[in-house]
Amino acid sequence: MAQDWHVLKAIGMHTLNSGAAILSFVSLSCLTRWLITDCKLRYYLDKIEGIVLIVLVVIFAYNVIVDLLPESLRNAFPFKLVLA
Amino acid sequence: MLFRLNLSLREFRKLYVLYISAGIAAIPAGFIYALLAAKGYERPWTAISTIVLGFLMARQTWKYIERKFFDEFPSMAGISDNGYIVVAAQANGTIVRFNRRVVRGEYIAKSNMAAAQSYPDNNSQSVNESMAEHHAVARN
Repeated sequence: MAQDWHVLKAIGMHTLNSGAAILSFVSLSCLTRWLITDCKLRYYLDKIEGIVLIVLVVIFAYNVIVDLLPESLRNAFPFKLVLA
Repeated sequence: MLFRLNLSLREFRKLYVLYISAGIAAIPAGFIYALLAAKGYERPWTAISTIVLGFLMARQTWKYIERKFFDEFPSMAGISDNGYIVVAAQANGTIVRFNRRVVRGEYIAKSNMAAAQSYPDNNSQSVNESMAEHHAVARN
């Protein structure tokens, strides 16, 4: 049961940190957009920001699903079904 | 308690840096997509392929930086509140692979040798000796 709490804590840490990273990128993008007046550069910036945010969300999902959920499954099934 | 807090803050900072570096690694893919979109190729398959490219680059960067972070053992060294040595502090290169998170490392340190040996990466002689040392120090 304690290990489940550790996994939950790790998932919470990932959620918090990915949220913080996304917020950082959004605020940086807003700041840059505020400084840039050229329409074409702003268009490029929008596209880059979109891809970066999607990649961050995918990385978060990958970390949680591939890395952390198998650990919770290992804790749930003591006969190492997941490892096998 | 202070040790745990320090360790948590350090882990928090490292995780944040990992996410930021993953985001920075995806910028070239975003730039490629922006170029394609500017040329009139703004279609689902270009978006999906650039997202996959960005994910692969971000994942490789994540792995590289994670390896860099968790190879520096002196910064991870310490004894937890209940007297156990954190496994990541004393581990050699073999242990790092399953001890990427201190959460998992603490779990192994608190469990018995059989549980530690049940990990596939953990069956080498040096690792077993290392774990025995941990338990001997913890008992003292």
